[in-house]
Amino acid sequence: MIEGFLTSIEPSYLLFMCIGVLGGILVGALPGFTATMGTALLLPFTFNLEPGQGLAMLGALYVAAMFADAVPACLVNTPGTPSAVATAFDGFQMTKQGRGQAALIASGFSALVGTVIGGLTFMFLAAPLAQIALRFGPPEFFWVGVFALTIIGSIAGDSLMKGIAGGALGMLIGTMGISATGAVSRYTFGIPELRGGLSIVAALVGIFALPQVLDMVSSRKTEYTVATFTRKPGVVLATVKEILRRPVNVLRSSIIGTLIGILPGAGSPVASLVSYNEAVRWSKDRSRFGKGAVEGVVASEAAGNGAAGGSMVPLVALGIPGSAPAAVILGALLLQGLRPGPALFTSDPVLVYGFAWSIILAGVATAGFGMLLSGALARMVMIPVRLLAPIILFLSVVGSFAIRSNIVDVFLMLGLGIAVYFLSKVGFHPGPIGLGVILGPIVEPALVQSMALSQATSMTSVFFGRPVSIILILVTLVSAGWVVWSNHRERRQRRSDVHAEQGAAS
Amino acid sequence: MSTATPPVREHEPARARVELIAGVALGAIAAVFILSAGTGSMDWLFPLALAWLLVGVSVYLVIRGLLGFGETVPAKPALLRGEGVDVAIFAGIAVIYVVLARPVGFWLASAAMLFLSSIYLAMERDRRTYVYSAVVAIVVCVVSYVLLLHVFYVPLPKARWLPF
Repeated sequence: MIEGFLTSIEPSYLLFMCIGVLGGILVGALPGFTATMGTALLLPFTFNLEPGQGLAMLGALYVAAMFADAVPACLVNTPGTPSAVATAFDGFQMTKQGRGQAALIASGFSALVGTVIGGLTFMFLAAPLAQIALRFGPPEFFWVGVFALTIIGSIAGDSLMKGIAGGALGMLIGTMGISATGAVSRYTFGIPELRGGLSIVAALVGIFALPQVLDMVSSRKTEYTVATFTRKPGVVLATVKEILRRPVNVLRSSIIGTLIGILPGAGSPVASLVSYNEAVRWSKDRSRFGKGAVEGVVASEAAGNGAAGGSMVPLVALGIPGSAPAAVILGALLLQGLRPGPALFTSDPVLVYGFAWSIILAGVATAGFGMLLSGALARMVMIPVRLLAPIILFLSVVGSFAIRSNIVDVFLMLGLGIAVYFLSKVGFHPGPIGLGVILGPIVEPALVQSMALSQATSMTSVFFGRPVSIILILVTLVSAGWVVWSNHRERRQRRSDVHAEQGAAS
Repeated sequence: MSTATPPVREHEPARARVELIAGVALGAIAAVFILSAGTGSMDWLFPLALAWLLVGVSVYLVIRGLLGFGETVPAKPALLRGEGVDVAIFAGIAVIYVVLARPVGFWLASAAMLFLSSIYLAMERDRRTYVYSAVVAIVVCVVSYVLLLHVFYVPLPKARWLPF
């Protein structure tokens, strides 16, 4: 382990790690460009490097992209990757309140904590946790998805029913394309390009970025810029202190992110959404969330980066990638002639532990770069709307097209954006729709596969008879019950406030 | 004896319930998905369940609207009141931009969109506005060209009608 650390701090390793970090910041900050794309682009450059150097560069890019996706999410309400959807809920509100730089610093610091916890878990607990992750079958993934859906209660805005409808609509949109089970073409409306399914990135850009641009345009006569930026000395220290006042939030979020990251297929978008939900649930004042609560940004970003470290656990311990970028890193390992698995820990411990240390160091470097650049990045909100709105539209089009080089994805992004803009005017929050788009492709295959399994035994034993499923059902029930109870409590509080005001007036 | 003139009763524009509009919109979306659905229980089970859930919420919202719950908005659409003109024009520019990206090429379409929309959105239009908009459009396109084509290798649409 110590030898691994010493290897990871060799100048050549640090250089490649920094290249990865800078590449990751660039990829993550551009809406539509994902960590998967970045790692895939860097993969050919690793052929001529030592395995450890190549892994350090790819791992660093992954970690940095998970942080940098918060930049457009916080500043212009456009998640750089699907993992930053929950970051945008509070990050953008912070920017509108003139606290954009604080939001970026919070993202950077939380990313650091998440990466360190994810990296340490990878280092010390990889083998036992990977075995537990293998116990997750389709029923467990179905319940993980259902549990993640309870976040709708936290982000639905004023109407829970509209939130549920938004989530259902998002999942429905996500069913477009050839079905995974029977290879049936669904909702393609005669457009062959849609058979490949919906591009989640293009859909999320449409759901979050375009309505925001249209909102900017509609209020351009009263709001010249998106927000104001004033340089505040000591903002880094003040923000870090604010986060550390509630250390449980950042630690809990990092652990949730790491554990979900270990589950192959769940990934950092689910991790950040579940973590955000838990931050709201455990908060004493949930009304602050969605209105610029720094805890919301912390929860999402710590979990997203925790998941990046967590996804390395099944990758290295079992050879099963926990996320799409991890799959690219698996490719890098195989190309170098290495076979991931438990034996790798004993046959090449310096490489494995060096990789884990590189991830942790990449977290430190990312946080450093992020905090250093936060002031300059936060000034982006001072760009006049007349220039910013067309630039975001341009980036949205590029981001939607870049994933699959498919112009239909761009039209889909535009259509969804315009539709969601109008839906938002009648009380539908874009959050649940985006959530549905992310979770639909996880929930549906798990549901259908579980139902197929139940034909051999029974529905009850498949869905409700497995220990992990029972735990997840209980957690889901507690989470959903809490949403209903807290909504009821808030309504009662509002009514009593109104009565008190009326009493005072008379 | 003075005769007091009766107060002129201002004509109040008709207002519609947000819940009603939301319910009808949701119902229309659900109808599209239900009517476009095929047969085959396993493949259509999930989408149809979701679509019928939307129908349920739609009915709930319509009933709430009819019973007078929730906020109200002017019944006349924002576009007809002149308030949504900017949004409609910008959305139109976005659609035209994407449509033109194939025939005239991505870069020319992008430069034109960036230039024209920033001029349209400007509060004051003078020589400086035009020059500034042109410079921003060119800089954004050049930087993106280098980044997208030479760093990320993104194959963007090439012109069909023009030689570049």
